[in-house]
Amino acid sequence: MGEYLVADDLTRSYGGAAPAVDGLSFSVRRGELFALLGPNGAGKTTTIRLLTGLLGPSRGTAYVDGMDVRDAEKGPEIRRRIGLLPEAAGLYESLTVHRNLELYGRLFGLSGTDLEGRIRGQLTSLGLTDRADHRAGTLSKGLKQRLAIARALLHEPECVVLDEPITGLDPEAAKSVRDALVALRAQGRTILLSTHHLEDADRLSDRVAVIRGRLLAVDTPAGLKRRLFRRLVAIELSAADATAEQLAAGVAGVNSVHRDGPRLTLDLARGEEEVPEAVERLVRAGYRIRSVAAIEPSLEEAYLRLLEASPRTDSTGAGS
Amino acid sequence: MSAVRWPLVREVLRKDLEEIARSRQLLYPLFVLPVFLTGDALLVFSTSVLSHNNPRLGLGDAFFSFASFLLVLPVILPILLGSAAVVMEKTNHTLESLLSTPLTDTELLVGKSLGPLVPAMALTAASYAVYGVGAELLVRSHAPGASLPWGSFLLTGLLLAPLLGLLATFVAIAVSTKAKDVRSAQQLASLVLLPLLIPLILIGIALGPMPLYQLALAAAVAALALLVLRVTTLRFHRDQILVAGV
Ligand SMILES: Nc1ncnc2c1ncn2[C@@H]1O[C@H](COP(=O)(O)OP(=O)(O)OP(=O)(O)O)[C@@H](O)[C@H]1O
Ligand SMILES: [Mg+2]
Repeated sequence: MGEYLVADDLTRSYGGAAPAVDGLSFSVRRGELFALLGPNGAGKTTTIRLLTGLLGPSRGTAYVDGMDVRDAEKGPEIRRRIGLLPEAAGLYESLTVHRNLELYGRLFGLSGTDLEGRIRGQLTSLGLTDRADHRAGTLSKGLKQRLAIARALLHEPECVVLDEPITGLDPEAAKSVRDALVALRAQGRTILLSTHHLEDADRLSDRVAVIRGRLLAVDTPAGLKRRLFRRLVAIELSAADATAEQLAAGVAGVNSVHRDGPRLTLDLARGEEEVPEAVERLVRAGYRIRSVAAIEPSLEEAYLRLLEASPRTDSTGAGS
Repeated sequence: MSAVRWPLVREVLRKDLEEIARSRQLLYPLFVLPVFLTGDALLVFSTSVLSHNNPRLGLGDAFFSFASFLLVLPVILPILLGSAAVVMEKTNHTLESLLSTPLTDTELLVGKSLGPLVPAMALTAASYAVYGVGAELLVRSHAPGASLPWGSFLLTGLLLAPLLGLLATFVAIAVSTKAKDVRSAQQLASLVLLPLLIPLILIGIALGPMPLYQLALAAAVAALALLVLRVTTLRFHRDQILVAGV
């Protein structure tokens, strides 16, 4: 299993003081679905542009199927390997749906019946056939996104890179994009996507990277959760306050307690042996316990905790 | 630098022409300017023809002066179109996907330069043709026997105008890669080119219809165009285009 996209100390500044992306090193393996996570301004789009050769690195480099993105001679070959869905769909709005696809097909060296066949195939699979002669500008946002995806897939790239493919879509459109991702994954294509939808990242991706200027973590979604939460138990009280929180936190083996309304979430170091002790202390102090349940943390919780635990470098988030 | 793949350049050109054809903002001035300037030139020339008993201004000089005046076209039209060529891809957010195709920077630059150049040159040539034929008809019907300086006219319309068109296009493209929006690009390109254009026309008129002088002016413009092309090529990198002006 080779590495298809490689970031090697990848760094990029935009002229400001601190780099937007700083010393990223990770790789996306051939055939894997890899999600890039991070808050607004974390450098996801910048990373994608660097990995696809649209931007040049200020330091370090990236490789696409072994080709160095700094090698301008390799540029056309690198771009041929990749189908990119940019953050903004970027369609030629005064041109028709069909013409938008035809233009890109030709720029990727396709022509004739082969191109026509692929256009028809993409239009069919993304449900755009009856819109083929409409101007792209008249499409709804969801349909524009689908057209942009069709455009990225037209030349049947080995690797598909999507910058927030689901953002702004209604649930049905989002589902159709998700299904398309699953289908691409099944075809063995390498997929890199950036997203704010952590549920999607959890469900769809083989591995995720969390970045905020710098790389905070790379792992499988399960691994990331395990790494950040050894064991989680939720104790629901009729009412919880700071004292209850302190009581629970005082039990040996409890790493931390998070209070959210009447609910205390305990992060346990070893296992569940500490639960009876915590419950007993709470009851003795007069708290009424409604329920106790082990919880499986979501990727979102792991993500938020990771961001919380990682000191902000001044490269991102400041001000904006 | 690898060889330019002309089929890809042609696709960029075709796309840009389709977009121009669908943009009222670009299309109206594109046709209004040549029609009015050519009409004006013919109109004023016709007054010289009708009053040509005035010996102070020879018909040939008048004919040539208004031909020089039409040099405004190969400068203004590329400013109009060329300023939009790159920055519009940026403001419409189409630049990133265009840059993600196998097009090289050179191919993109050539395609983007031809986009403004082709319609601008076609309209300029048409304007010169209409003016030349119109002037000849006027002279034949109202001042038979007078002869017009065709050599200087042809050098102006067929050599000086295209070279000026090239120069204006390269300047407009260079400005377009750095600009925030179409309007500011057009303003900046005009600011650079008009102070050059006006003296050029005035000098041309002052020198009069002498083919040698027209050749010398053409050589100067060609040298300047090459210089600007060199600078534009050096600055035309996808990375900088994508980042600049946002
Ligand atoms: N062209 C540019 N010029 C200057 N700074 C830029 C440019 N593009 C991005 N930046 C800065 O780089 C940082 C990273 O931006 P980037 O767009 O990569 O983040 P992101 O993770 O994609 O954010 P979002 O989730 O909002 O899309 C931000 O601080 C941003 O302001
Ligand atoms: Mg982004």
